[in-house]
Amino acid sequence: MTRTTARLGRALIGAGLACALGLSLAACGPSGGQSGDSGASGSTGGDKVVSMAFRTPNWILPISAPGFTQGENAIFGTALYRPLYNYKLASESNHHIDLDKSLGEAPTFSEDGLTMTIKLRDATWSDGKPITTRDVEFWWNLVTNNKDKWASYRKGAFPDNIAKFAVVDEHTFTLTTTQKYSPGWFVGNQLNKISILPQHVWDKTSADSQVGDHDRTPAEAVKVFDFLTEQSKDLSTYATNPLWKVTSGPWQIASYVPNGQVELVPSPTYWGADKAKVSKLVLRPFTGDDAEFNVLRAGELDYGYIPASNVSQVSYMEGKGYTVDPWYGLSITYIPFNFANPKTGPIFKQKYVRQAMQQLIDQPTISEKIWGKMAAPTCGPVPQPADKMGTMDGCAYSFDPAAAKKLLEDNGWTVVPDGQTTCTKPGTGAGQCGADIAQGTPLTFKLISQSGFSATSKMMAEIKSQMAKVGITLEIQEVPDSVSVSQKCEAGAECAWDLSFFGSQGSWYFPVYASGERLFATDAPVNLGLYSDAKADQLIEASQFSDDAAALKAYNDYLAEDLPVLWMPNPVYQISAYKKVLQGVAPQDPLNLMYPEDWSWK
Amino acid sequence: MVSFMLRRLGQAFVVVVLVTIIAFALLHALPGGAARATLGKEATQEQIDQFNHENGFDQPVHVQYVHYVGRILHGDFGYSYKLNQSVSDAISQRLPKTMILSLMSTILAIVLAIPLGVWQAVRRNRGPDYVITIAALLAYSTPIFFMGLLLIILFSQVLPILPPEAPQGYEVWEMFADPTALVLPVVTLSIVTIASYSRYVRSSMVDNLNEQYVRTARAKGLSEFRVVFVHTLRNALFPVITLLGLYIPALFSGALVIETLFNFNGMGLLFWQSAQNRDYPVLLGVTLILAVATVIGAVLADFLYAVADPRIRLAARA
Repeated sequence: MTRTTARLGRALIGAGLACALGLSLAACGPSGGQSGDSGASGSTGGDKVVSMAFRTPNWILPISAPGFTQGENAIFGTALYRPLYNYKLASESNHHIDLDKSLGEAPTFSEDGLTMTIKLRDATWSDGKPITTRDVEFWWNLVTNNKDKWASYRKGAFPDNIAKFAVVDEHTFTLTTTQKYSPGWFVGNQLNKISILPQHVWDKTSADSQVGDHDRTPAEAVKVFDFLTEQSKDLSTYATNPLWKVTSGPWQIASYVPNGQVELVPSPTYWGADKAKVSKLVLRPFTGDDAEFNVLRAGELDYGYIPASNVSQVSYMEGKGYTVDPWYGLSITYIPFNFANPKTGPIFKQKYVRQAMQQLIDQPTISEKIWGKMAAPTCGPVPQPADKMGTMDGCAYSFDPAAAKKLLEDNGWTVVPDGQTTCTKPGTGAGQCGADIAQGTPLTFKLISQSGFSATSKMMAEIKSQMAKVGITLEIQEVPDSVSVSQKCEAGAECAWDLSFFGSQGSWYFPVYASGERLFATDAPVNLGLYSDAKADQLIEASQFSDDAAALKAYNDYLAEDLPVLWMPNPVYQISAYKKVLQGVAPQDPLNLMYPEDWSWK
Repeated sequence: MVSFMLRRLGQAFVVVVLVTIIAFALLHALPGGAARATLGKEATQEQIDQFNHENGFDQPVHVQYVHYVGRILHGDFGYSYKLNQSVSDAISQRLPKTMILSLMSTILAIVLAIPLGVWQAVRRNRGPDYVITIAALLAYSTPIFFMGLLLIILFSQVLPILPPEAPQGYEVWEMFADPTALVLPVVTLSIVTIASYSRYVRSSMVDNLNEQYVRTARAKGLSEFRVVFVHTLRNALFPVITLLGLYIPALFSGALVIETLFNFNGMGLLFWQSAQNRDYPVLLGVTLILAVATVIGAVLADFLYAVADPRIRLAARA
């Protein structure tokens, strides 16, 4: 090595160090990262801005559109536009209606139970105009003339089940149903779809046209709907479009970045008592759980969440000045059996097989050890009441491998622990396997599960291990979207799945009234496994149509025992973490809406 | 030279067409479908059918493909049924920012890797060379996700001097509103590149320093600086030129790991989320852009190599 080379080497080191130093100098500046002024949260005694982790909403029209029914859109929608009814599950009010956050008063029913009379509260649009039944009629005309474009529409349900909509006066309207329904079901699960829209601003067919009574003509109602939909597809104008400036909720949009940050400010003319108490709400989207958690750990979010994979960090976050609050939803989690599978369907139709499998799922232990106490057992089709959450109260089956083994042995199966259990006594008599189960049939099932959730993978491994102890083989296949590949099996079509899990964040979230007509009734739209039971249908119908308050319990008790699906630990909707000085967040709404207008800094 | 480039461009066009056909076929062969993924498990069969009809999914695949190509020729990449945005908007919102981040990390990598590689070569088989080699191998074998997480914990949480996320904002210029927010993602993204490029440069330099033309140059009394930087480095950079050409797709594709870690809404994430959501129009749009970028990168690498090394042109004529 010459001296020149040595000098060259030193020069190169110097150059490298200079580059590194340049980076270091850049790194020595003040910490940025807070977009806007969200960092100046109340916790530091600054202004009253609240920054929260929140996916960017991408649908503003308060008539849900197919593909845009995500939770963030519902929360965003109710912040800007109050619906006829919002609900508070914990309240003792009539049908759990949250009057403070609703535009309507509780409905009164006619003696025959067919007609509901609904009065509107004294409320105004943000431009000062009163909210009247004309605005309800406007919504009615739009949805009844555009059912196919409305995501909430189900054939035979609302508004098909309304024989007559009538305006009584400026503040009163009536709905007459085609038949008598359970009031709880109708108010909770049908009237929740009613939005109230500013007719005096939105009733136009194009941006340049005049506002008129276009909605009263079916053809024109279609044009109005299409115009509003088109406007709702223009994300870049959400903060500037005059249409969206007229609101009925406590918030208004200050700025909106497509796929980015959204800022809401209190509506200065909001009519309600629940006015926003903070000066600005900054909704910050994140590209993933890790990005969100890094920012939360750095203390730059006032409201965020702890990803399920970081549940061990709960005490750390509490030490950093956050309240950690598991957010339970009104939900259940389950694994459907595919009763329509030509090979394994006959096995699932045997109740003792379903019972045996259920008894091999240790829900309490899985909830505690695998989900870190961030899940609670599901006992039946109706979510457990809050006071029983986390217990096995009401569960028809507990974890009992010995009982499961006995059930199989008593019904013609030769159990081979950690091997292959097979049917050795085919037939339909007592002590035999059951109809359409041949000699030598193994208990081997293909379970489609969700990828991307470590707790789910561990849970499946645990269940597979327990099942193996009585010779039941589970072949677990993880896919990103298990619902898509475990759809209802149509006659003649390929039918490859036996069991399906799509409940890493809960399988099903209910509206106020947790009935099962969409899940477990024969031909129900989300009855993926085609479960069909005459008595279950009868009980589901009773819960939907009868005004007997016990109908829902009867339905729950029967299905909890009959096992249309395997009941599974139900994960929390989210492990929320918010600054201890932020009050009004708890209790979090089991219906998964959020009301930041109730939040304030201590 | 011209015919060589024309031939390569022709091949590139065929590759792009083939990529779109294969991507189209594979997407439609996926189990499940766009309708279910978009509308959710609550959607009725009528809604599924309507969605499929509106998006042309009820047509044969080859017909769908012809329609798709027809729309592309008119500059219409379609509409994302998940983002509520046109594909062009979704891509144009992310692509410039992704390219800036990737370019910055590439520039940083080149600025550091070339001197490091040269220095290792001239000081080969000595202490510093071994130290840098070990460091490079360590950096190269450390998962980028872990590296990023380590940097975040160190510089955002233990020593809170840098933001834990990349610059936010809608406009491209907002990338530079807070330069400190660029440091961690750029450094994390460049570490592996620095490690690999420096190894290539070192190895290539070592080969060339042993060549006879270097000995001749030294015998002629040229300064060591001229020998290393004028004579040797030019030849030693051929492999790096090829690497840079092949790195061009990465400028467009973004880096999913970095984007998810540093909250950077870029092309990598767009592609990933679209795949998760079966958002076919976006997937195809991104695939098309990446295919074009890849072949451009390959053609550019050939071109640069041909410019840098006359022997390539001679081979093409032969």
